[in-house]
Amino acid sequence: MDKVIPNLQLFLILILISLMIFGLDSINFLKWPKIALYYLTNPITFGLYKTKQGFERQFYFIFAARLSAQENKALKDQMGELLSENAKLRNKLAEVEAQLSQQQSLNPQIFNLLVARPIGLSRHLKIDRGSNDKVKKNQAVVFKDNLIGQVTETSEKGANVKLLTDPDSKISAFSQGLSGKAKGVVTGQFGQEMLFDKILHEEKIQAGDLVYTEGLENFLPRGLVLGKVTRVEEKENEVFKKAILAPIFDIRDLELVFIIIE
Amino acid sequence: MKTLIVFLVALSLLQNTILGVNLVLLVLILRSFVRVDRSNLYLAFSMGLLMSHLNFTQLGVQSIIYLVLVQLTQVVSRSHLSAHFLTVVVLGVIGVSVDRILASMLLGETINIFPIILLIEGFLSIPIFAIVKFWEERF
Repeated sequence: MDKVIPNLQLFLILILISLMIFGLDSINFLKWPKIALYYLTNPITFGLYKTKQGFERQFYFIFAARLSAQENKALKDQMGELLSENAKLRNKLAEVEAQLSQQQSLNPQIFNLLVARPIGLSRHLKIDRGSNDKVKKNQAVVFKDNLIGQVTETSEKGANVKLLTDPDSKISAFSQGLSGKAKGVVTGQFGQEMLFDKILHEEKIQAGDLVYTEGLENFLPRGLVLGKVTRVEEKENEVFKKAILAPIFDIRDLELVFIIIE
Repeated sequence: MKTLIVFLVALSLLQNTILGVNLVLLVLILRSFVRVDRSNLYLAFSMGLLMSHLNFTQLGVQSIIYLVLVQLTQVVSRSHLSAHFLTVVVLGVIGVSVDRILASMLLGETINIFPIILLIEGFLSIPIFAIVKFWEERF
C-alpha cells in the first residue's frame, strides 16, 4: 500500500490534525493564538498592500499621462481647425464691416466703388482687381473717406496702386483746422510720411490739422482725407512753408480697399 | 529546506496581497511531482494553515485540501502519466481549480473560478516546474 500511496500514515495523521484544528477553530479555541499571529502578519500584509497600491498608482499615472497626451493631441488638432475657421470668419466679418463703413463714408449713389483686396505691398500696393474688372489707370483708391493712392498699372487680374507716400505722387490739397485753412501740394516722401508744400506764410496751419484733396485732378473727388499734420516747418527766408503729414491708416492693416470706378 | 520555507512564506504573503495567483499551491504540487518526500506533506500542512490564517478562513480547511492535492500529485508522479511533459500543466490547473472549488464548498461560499487566472496559472506551471526541478537537482 505504501508503494502506491507514499507516506500514507503521515498523510492520515496530518489530515487528522487538520480536522482537529478545524474543529478547535470552529469553537473559537484557537482565538488567542490567532490574534497573536495577526499582530505579526497584519503589518506585513498591510505594508505589501500599500506597496501594491503605490505601484498601481504609478502605472495608472503612466497610463493616464499617455491618455492625456493622446487627448491633448486630438484637442490641438481640433483647436487648429477652429482657429483656422475663426480666422476665415474674422476675415469675412472685416470685409463686411469695411464695406458697410465705406458705404457710410462715400455715398454709393454718387461714387461707383469696386471692392479690391490688397495682395502685396512693395513700393506700390498690389490689388486683386484689374482691367477685367474695369479698373483703369489713374483711378483713385480709397478706404472710407481716405485717399490711399492712384492706380498706375493694370493687368487682367491685378493692378498697382501708387501710394501717397510715393515720391512720384503729387496732389493738390488743403488743410482745415481750428486755426484756419491752408492750400498746397502734397508730395510723397520715401517712407511713411508726406510733405505738404507750397503753403503761403499767411495761411494758418498747425499740427493735428487734417489735409484733404482739393479735387483739381480729374480722377479725384474733393474732400478725401490725405493725412494729418504732424509738424510744421516754417523758415523766414523761404517763400513757402511746409508741413509733414502722416497717413491716418497703416496700409498694411487694411483688409479691403475701394476703387472709384466713376 | 529552510530556504524553501522562507520562500513559501514570502510567496503566501505576496499571494494574499499583490498577486491573485495561487503560487503556493503550484509550488507545492510541482515539488511533489518532482520529488516524493515526507517534507511535501509537512509543507502542505503548514502552508495550508498559514494560508487559512492569511485568508481569514477557518484553520485546517486549506491544510486538508493541500494535503489531499499533494498526496494525489505524489501518486500521479509515480504513475506512467508523469512521463508526459504537459502533465505538470494539467496537474497545476486541476490542483488550483480543486482548491478553489473545495475551499468554497467547505466554507459554504459560491464557487467562483476565473478562466483567465486559471490560464495564467497553467502557463506559470511550466517555469515554476523548471525552477523547482533545477532547485531540487542542484541542492
